[in-house]
Amino acid sequence: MVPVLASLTYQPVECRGSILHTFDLSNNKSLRSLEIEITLMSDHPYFSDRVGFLGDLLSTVTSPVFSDVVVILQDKIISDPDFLQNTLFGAVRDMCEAKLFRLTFLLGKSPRDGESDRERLKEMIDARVAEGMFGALLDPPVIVSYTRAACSVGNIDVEYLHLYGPL
Amino acid sequence: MTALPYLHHTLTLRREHWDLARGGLIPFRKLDKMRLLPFVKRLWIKHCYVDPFLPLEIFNAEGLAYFSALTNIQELGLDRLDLRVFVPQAQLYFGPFVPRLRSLALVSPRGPNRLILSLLGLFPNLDDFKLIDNRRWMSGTPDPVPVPQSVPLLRGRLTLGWFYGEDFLRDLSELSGGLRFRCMDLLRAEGLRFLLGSGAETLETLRIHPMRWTGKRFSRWSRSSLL
Repeated sequence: MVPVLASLTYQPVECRGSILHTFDLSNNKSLRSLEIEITLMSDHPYFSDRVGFLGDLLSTVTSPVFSDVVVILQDKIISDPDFLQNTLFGAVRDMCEAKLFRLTFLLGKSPRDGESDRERLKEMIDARVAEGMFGALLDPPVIVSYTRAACSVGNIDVEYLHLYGPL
Repeated sequence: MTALPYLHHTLTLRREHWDLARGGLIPFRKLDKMRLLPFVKRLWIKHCYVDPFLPLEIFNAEGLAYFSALTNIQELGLDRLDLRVFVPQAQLYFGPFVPRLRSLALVSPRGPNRLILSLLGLFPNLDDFKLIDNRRWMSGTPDPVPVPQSVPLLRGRLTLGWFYGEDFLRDLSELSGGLRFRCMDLLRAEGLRFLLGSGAETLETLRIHPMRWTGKRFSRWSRSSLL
């Protein structure tokens, strides 16, 4: 009998309190960077809370060497400026209030896409920085994009990763 | 010629590549003919939907000969490995990779977690370990469980996705003398508190996926964020 995923007793964390209880980083003294992958799953009822707890999470960091936050964005994010401008940037603002760090946005994109998404994202971020939304940051936010692709040469698969440097 | 080592860095085997009726192990054969097998550093044996688990047939005499020529494999990825079949003879199947293997990824393995420990113990220089979707076929008690042959380094990156079994983490910690990973990438993994607590002294980078903690089941789409 093969057990199916749904029948398992595994209970994912749901509310902010239990998330923080699980992700208490106060004992970690060597943490240098936190990487947060953000995807669009707007059908989920806890959608905004998932991002909203990030400021609280960062406030648990006590590592003296902590310096970087990397926000990893899937390309679909750009198609939802409302989420980006309000929910995500609001969470980033909360993180900036909790801790001083360097901020990098890592934008995944399809091989077919040009650089327009990255430029749009930069415009939005620049506008927020000019407004002072992100408060104190060690450096201006950096935007890096990447493309993961694969091709087949004969019967041999070749995978490659393109990195596009900061704007 | 200087580009060849880079072009053949990654070799991905798919179902059609080991269909013996259609020629079998064609990529291996082509690379071997050009003497390029030693350039391969990353080997992925991908899951196929025809067979429920990784078939033994690719480890026939011809396959084993090719594997023995893959002398520089540093990263090995295995989809749907039936641990109960492969782990007792792991030295035979994966022996050529033992000296240099630094990264091992298991996606949807079948069998109890204790067999994974035995497999890890085969690779003394293993730094990175990735375990994704171990929940579906973890039932059953192996008899007996092979004793790990060595203590893997495990000081690089730990990736856990759709992971079940905090006991495994405790056993892993015991095997390697404590969890000393520098990076952790955690997506719907049990035992988070134990991981973050026991790995607190060495953890430098933590990656989380807050939008994926519930909702969609494990799928090819969702695994892309970890692979």
